Amino acid sequence: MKSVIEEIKSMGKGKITFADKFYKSNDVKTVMGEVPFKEILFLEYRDTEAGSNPREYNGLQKTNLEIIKSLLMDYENMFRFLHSGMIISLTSAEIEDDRTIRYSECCLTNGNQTRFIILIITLLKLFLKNGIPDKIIAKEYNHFIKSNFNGDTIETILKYIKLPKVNQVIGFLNKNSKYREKFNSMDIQNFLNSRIRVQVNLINSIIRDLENEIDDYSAGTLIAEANNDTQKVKADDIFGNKRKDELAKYIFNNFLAEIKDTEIEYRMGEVVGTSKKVHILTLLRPIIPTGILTKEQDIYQYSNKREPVYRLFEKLIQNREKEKAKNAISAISKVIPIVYSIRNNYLIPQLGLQKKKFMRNYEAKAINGDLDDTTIRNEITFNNGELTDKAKGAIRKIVNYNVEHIIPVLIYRIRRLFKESNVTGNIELTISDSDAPAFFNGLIESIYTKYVDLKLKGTASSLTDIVRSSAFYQSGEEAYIMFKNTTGLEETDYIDKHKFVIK
Amino acid sequence: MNFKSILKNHTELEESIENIIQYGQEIIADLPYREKKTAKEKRMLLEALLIRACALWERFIEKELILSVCLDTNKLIKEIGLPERAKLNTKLIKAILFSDHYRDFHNVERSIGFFKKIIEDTYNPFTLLTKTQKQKLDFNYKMRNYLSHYSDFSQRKLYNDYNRLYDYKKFMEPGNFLLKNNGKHFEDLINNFNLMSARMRQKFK
Repeated sequence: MKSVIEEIKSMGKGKITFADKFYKSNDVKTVMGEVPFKEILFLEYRDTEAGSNPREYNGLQKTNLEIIKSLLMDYENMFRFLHSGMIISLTSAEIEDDRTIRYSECCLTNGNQTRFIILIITLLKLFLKNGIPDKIIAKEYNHFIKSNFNGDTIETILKYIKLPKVNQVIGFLNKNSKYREKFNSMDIQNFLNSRIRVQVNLINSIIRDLENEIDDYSAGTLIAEANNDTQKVKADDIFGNKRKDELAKYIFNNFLAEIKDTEIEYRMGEVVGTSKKVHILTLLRPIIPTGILTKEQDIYQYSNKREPVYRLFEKLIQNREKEKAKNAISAISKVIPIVYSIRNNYLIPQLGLQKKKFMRNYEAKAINGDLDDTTIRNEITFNNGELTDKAKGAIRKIVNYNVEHIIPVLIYRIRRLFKESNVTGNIELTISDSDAPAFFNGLIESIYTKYVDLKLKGTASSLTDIVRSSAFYQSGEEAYIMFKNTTGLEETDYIDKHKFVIK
Repeated sequence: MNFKSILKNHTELEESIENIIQYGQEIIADLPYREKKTAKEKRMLLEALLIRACALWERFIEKELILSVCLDTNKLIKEIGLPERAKLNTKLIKAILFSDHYRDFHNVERSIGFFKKIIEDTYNPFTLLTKTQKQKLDFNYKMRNYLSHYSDFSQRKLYNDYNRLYDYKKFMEPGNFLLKNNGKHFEDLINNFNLMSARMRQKFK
């Protein structure tokens, strides 16, 4: 058993190996083939640079029930033909040979339910030594997981397999003797080497030729959401759906009153036919870096993860009758519209212009040999003195940005500039309208420069680490202090006064 | 004479060109906090910016030529038959090259033969320019000439290049061309000055 556990733990880690030679399209944007189950057990699917799959594991509902049946019935032969396969998006993917792809980040955009079922079966097969019990005891199961599985990705995936979901499978096996026998006679090695069809989207190749600017994360999430949009998403699993009424009434009430031309999307894809829509995460995420709901040290980690954002707001809504929570909710509701307008009026346009500037500057640097001590030095190649497409692609990859990475730092930097208007009661900034463009543009340039610098130096293991580092949150500090000193910028304690720290 | 003055010349050009590009892109972007320009205004401004960029390039080239020659004056001395031991500084070189009449070196392709005659190979930055860079420079000047003269001849020359390089079947005013695709051509062509400068700078590392 130990050797099997060690084997499956060693899977993934930036590499996916197919069972046979895979198909590769001429433009190297699509790869298709078959992979053994063991390769897909711990693929990431949430909030990765390769996108974020909006669907969690639903348990043995109707479709998943059919999946587990077909899986147990004949995983070795028929399963791969009865299942439509998985879709995986990869960033910085490099084809090592005709069976292996190396990558930086991965998002399992389609087939997540199947993966979880295969993973639960695997875990049960490894965990159960004396037949199938009526129910699994939490203490024993947790001990088994903790003592055998570690590592960030593995722990993250396993965290989403709640014990009731595992016991659901136990219940299913106990009720169905046919499948129970199949499970009991299953050879774990054969099971793990059974295959599933996989389609791989190589995001860097996909976005390289696009006219419109789009970063890895946006492209990956677009794919993940499109893949999942047509399927039934369990409403209860989605915070937006569950808390739609409370969000509209307490958190977004000022936004809805002030910004009338934009519809809020409580579940991805529900608003169609209008370009003016905004997802709840876009509005909620920038509240975290104000520090109104968290301890200071948690800001860096929470701002760039979906789950803590939703969890914090879930708890805030649950506590909405408490006086301090009421205060915080009122302040948050007032801050959301101004943060949204900063995003649209300054951040997005400035990032677009700045990206073009970075492209120009880094191409000139590459030509002049000034990128020799950076992570992309090996990709800087020339053809007749001109930078090759590969080199331009490498530079584009470095200067690509994700708005959701930059906005938390910008809001973190300006959080002491919110004040309540004596006239309207709305939140405004202490900075004048005439100074605002220069202030924001300077700050955004400074933050974005740090973002690109950190990527170029490659000190962190992934972009996710970079954007969750305290070092990144220090960017823009000098620009802010300089502006503050030269213009006599007034700071306020508005956020501190309305703080409601959620543990 | 050392490389410092030459690198300063490059920095001055690159900063000025970058400012032009940024200004042009800000106009095109219709920034929410700025008064929006009409398409007609945008076209006129982009044309003006192109002319300005060309003027900056010409000033840069003149200076680059003088400074490059000054690094080793032997070729120039031989070329114009001065005594071998003649000592030339930047002012004298400028006087020799430019004082009697207007000389126009903006077209590097055409001037390269002359540059080779007067600049030592080790210090000749113009030889580093790529074919594509020279082609874009030439195209820039076709537009500038058209905007300076509005003559049938300059229009025909420009149209031929629209057709040859971009496969456009109809003539369009430079402003229209520069504004196309959110100013993609504008950025590409004006930034070419900076990329040329970056290539040339390699001689002085």
